[in-house]
Amino acid sequence: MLLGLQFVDLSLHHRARGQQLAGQPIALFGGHPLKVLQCNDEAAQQGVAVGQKLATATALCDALVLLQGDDGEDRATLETLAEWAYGFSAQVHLVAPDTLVLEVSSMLRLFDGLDNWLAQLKADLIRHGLPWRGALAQTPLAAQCLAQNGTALAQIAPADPALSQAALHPLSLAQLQRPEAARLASMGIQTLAQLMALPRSELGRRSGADLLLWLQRLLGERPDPRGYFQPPKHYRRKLVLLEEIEHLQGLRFPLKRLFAELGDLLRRRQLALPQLDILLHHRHRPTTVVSLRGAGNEHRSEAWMALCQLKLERLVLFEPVMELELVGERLQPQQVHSERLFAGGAPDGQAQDLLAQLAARLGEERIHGLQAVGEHRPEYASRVVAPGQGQDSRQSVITTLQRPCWLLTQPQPVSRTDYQLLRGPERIESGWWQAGAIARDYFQAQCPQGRLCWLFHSSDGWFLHGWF
Amino acid sequence: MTANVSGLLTRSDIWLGRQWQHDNQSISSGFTRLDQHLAGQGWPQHGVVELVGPMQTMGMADDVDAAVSLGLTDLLLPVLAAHQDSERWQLCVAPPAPPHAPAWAAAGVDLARFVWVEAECRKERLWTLEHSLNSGRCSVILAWLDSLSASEARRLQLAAQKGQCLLFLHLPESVLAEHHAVALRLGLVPESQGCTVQLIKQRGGWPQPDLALALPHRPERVPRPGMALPQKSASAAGVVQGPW
Repeated sequence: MLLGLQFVDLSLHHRARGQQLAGQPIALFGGHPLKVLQCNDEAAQQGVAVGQKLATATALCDALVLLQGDDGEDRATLETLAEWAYGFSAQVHLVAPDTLVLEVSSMLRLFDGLDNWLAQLKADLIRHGLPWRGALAQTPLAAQCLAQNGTALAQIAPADPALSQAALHPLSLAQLQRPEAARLASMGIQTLAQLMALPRSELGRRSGADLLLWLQRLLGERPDPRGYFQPPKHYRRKLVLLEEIEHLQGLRFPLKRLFAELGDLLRRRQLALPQLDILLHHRHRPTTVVSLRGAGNEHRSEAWMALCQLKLERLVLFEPVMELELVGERLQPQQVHSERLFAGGAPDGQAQDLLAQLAARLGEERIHGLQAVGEHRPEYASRVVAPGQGQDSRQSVITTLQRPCWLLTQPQPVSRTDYQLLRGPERIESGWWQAGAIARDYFQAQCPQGRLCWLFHSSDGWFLHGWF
Repeated sequence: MTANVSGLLTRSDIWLGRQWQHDNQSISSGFTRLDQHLAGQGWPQHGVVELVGPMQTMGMADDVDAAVSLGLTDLLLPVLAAHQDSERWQLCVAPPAPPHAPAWAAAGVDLARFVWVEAECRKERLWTLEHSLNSGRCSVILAWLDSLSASEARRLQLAAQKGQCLLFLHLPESVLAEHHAVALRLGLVPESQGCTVQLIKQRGGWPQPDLALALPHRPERVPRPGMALPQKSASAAGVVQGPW
């Protein structure tokens, strides 16, 4: 059993839904000379019709919002929908420009029956906000034809084979866009029922093998192998903004929708992204790229939105944004978070989100973890690592030595007389095999303000190196 | 008459002014004398603790702009070591000098949970603090600021309570002119053997005299005789006199 699903006036409604145009008359135009290709109900009420000249349409309805058609984008839109449909069926076939055919039978066990499957599908379709009509049938071609010629919107025709056969009968060949329609009509054959009543061999001889094959595929007498949709290995979505957006606040609404769609897709395919780029396309200036890096591989839309907010707060927009694009290059399998058996180690899960948010605002190079290294030279005894990766990797031998909590990046030359030496010396002479060789005597000393500090004396004089 | 009064004190239906201090839950500071000194017998469990100390130049003595109140890290190390939560971070926000890992590890701080955040400008530091406190994903935060207004202190205190986090905020003495609605405010004066703790303000406690607190691992003021110095020039200061 298969489901045909047609999205009525797909490119028009897809482009309108991102831009808060509810209730306004909209028309999609294109071709040469310019004609109305698609229009919504509000426009149709004012007399706009498909095939009208653009000038006529604008004269009829002066508030008409015009969108320019783009074939490449239509294909991308249909692929986006196919990715969504992939969550409901493993075998999705795309029929340009606006129809999907989904295999149903093998999914029934997973979804616990057809009613459940249809209910979930319908709930998702309502969320998408695109007008659609669907039909169940036994062959892909029948499902496609029935969906494209169904009458009522937002309904799925019955699954019963006899009923779907019956539904096919009254369809006219012209509706099905067969090239032979006109010739057959002149012979008095208008509908499929009439066509099917003819003897097959005679029909083949008169109209060619092509029509015969089509008819046999429609009725399921011959196999109809098709290529199925494969979800891509990367994520890329583009949103053309109807109006140029000058303020970053205005980007929030379209971005939220894009993130929701991304989160949905990642959850369904059990994938995650380590990094996501937001491309803001301008008219003249080069594209602004905002890179978001989650805590590990991230799949939740709220987490991306939170990171994005932090980045956008610091962004300066020099030119209005015309197009938004979301690019995730490396899709990774989602890691299932599991609780630890033993305590210890770095916090994970939601605690990592905090660091990702801090990194988004302050910059990654300013969030550090620390590692204690078994090394005598103080400069090398503490190493900066990625946050959460810090550890104490010293051997037990040198852990007993007292070290200052704060070590100056550069030792500061000081006057010996200002300081009162309290403990020492501790001679550190190491690193002769490297460029950073040192030979120093370290002292704990009291500074004029009364604090305990770490001084050393070398051949160059006295230096302050740390604070306790 | 005296017997009557002491009898009154043991009655359970008479409220004593001392009792309500102990309602606050607290974390032991690791120093018995300091615990006794503080209301609630230790650091507050969450909230802001202001540590006000004298200004300290970090490096060059003439570089006055770089002066900060470094505070006494020895005093806080026991809390950091004891107050570990496997799902929460311990942040060190904008310290005046880079932290030296061996000292922290030796004190028992888990470096896997210890995060050092650099933030130059004041606005970013405040944002980092408030965001981290609000997230509830930090157990202890050490932070350094060169000024703090009363409203900012209030915001940090509320965020710390919301996130169940203990914030140790190091501030210069100039903030003493303002009253901040924080859980605890201490003045710290470093000394050779430890420090003097002045109790400037504490929530739910009475005024207390200053406390001279000895900190561990402090060297003796006079080094043992026989300890050699590398050069004779050191002896010219007249501080350490060797037998030579």
